[in-house]
This record gives sequence, structure tokens and C-alpha cells, in this order.
Amino acid sequence: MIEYTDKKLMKLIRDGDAQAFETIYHRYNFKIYNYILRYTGNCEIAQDLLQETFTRVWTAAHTFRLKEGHFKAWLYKIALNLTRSEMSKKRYAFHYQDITDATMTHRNLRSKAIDQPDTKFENLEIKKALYQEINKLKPHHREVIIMKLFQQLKFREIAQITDTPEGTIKARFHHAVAQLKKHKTLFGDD
Amino acid sequence: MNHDNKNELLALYFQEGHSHRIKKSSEHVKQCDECQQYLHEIENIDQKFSLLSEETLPSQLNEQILKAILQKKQPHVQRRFIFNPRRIVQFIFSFIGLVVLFVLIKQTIIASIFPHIKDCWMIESIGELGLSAFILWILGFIVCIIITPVLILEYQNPLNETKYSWKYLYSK
Repeated sequence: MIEYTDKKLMKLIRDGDAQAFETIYHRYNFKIYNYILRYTGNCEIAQDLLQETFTRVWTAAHTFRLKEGHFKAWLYKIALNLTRSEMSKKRYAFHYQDITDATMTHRNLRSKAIDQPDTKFENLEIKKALYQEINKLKPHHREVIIMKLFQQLKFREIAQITDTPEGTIKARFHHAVAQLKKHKTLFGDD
Repeated sequence: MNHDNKNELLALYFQEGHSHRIKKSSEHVKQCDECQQYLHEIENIDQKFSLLSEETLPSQLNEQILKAILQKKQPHVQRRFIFNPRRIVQFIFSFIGLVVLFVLIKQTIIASIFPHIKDCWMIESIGELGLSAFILWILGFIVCIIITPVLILEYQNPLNETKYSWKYLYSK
């Protein structure tokens, strides 16, 4: 089933096919988990919301429009709505540090120079600062930055997910960039 | 730098959009210091964020999640046929399309079906093709009168809140 398209899998899921669901879960769990994690900054919440997102996919599969629907956008929309709803409770803000503290130990860094102790420490500091900067952004700006820079989604896709015009999404991106570059030590010239 | 210019820079940096548009922006950036600076800022932020690698989920957790989800029963949804007037409209227009094709191809046969039509003043003045067009126009007019109430019904039908429905378009 790995070679099946999302729509074909969704058709099977609508008919209660567990194997098709597993395939689609393994196809997107990584992306969705990281998306929620970046947004909330809390591993436990991200795991719970991941489960909730895919529970919705399973139980509400019949509401997905097979003809004109775009599965990826639909899935991200579910995750986004759940995350927004969770964040609106405003009780997770202080947990945002979790992501840096709890996961630093087993995370693989892209930079090869990380093996050097000094660089490692420096990168940890940078990462902490980056998470703090993300947390400082307004929710709408944070969403766009996460979807664009972490999830590598296209602006058109982000617009579809958030039900917002593409121009507005780009404007939010510019605002977020303007906000981020205020932190000159982090985003200034090396 | 206004927002339009900035959007062009985003298209250039993320390689989204038409190639000619990207090429145009690229040529502009070579000459514009301000745009170069903005691109550099985006690149810098992007590079910094790339330091944050993505987390993986423990396979055990994946199994737990899958098990928990699949234990839940999917709601039984009875699929019923929804009467959609748009289907009738589609059918009518398809039929008209076929008639148009048939008439345009076979329009020379009109005279053979109605031999006396050759003497008609209309044929003399507008020709067989013109007559066919006139007949079609009359037919189209009649069809429009028939389908208008159907379109109004469709607009009022709450089930038709789909991407292509009139209601959706007007609500936007």
C-alpha cells in the first residue's frame, strides 16, 4: 500500500481499512508530530495532539471530500485547529523550554561540527534562543514560520490550510522576519 | 521596498511561482542592494532554523497510538443519494452541447429534411448555418427560462455548499 496515493488510501480508510490507515499514519506522523512540537514546544502535548489528529482522520474520514479535497491540507488543518484550541487554553506557555531541555540529549544535529564540545555548547545555546524567539512570535506569525521553514510547505498550501489568502500569508511571513531580525545577536551577520 | 517586491523576493528565494517571474526577480536583485539585503536576512533566518533538527517518535509510541486509534469504531455513515439540481443542469448543457455539435456537422442536412425550406426567405438571407444558429438561440433561450428556477433552488439548497456551487462563490 506504500505506493498508494493519499486519496486512494482515504477511500479505503472510509471503508474501515486499518492497513490503509497505518500506511497514512506512517507517512505523516513524523511531519505532524514535529509541526505540533514546534508550535507548542511541549513533547507530551505534541504526542497527545498527534494521537488526537489521527483519531480525527480515522473517525471523520467520511467527511473528507475525495473528489476536490487535498489530504495533506486537510490533515494539517485538523492538526492546526487542535493545536490552536490547545494553545488558547494558555497553560502551556511555560512548558516551552521542554523541547530544548528534554530532547537535546538524543537529537541529531545537521551540523557536522557539533561533535566538537565548544561548538556543541554553542549550538545548544543557539537552539534555546531560537525556540525562545519562536515562542515570542504572535501565533499567526509562528504558524507561518513553522509551516514554511520547518515543514517546507508552499505558501499556496499554507494558505489552503489556514483558510487565508496567499498574500496575507506572505505578509505574515514578512512580519515574522521583521520580528525575528530584531534579535541581532542571533540573526545578525555571522 | 513595498510588499509586492518583497513577495517577488519570497518567490525567488523559495523558488515558488513561474520561472519567468523568478528570472525577472533574479535580474532585479543583482542590481538592487536593498533586495539583496532582504534576501540575505531571510537566508540567515532560514539557516539558523535549519539547526533545529526534527524529532523522531519512539516506535513503541507509534504502536500505542495506532492501537488506541484503531480500537475506536468509525461512525456508521449511511451513504444516501442527494438530489442535486446541478446534475440536471449539467445534463441539460451536455445535451445542448451534443445538439450543437450535431447541428453544426449536419447543418447541411436541414435542407434535405425540410425540402421546402430552401425557398424560405430566411435561408436566402442568412443561409443554413445562420438559420441553425437562430434555432439554437431560440432553444437556448427556452432552456434558460426552464433552468432559472432550478438554479435558484440550487442556490438555496444548504447541501450545495461545495467549492463549485453558486452559494459558495457568492458567500466568498
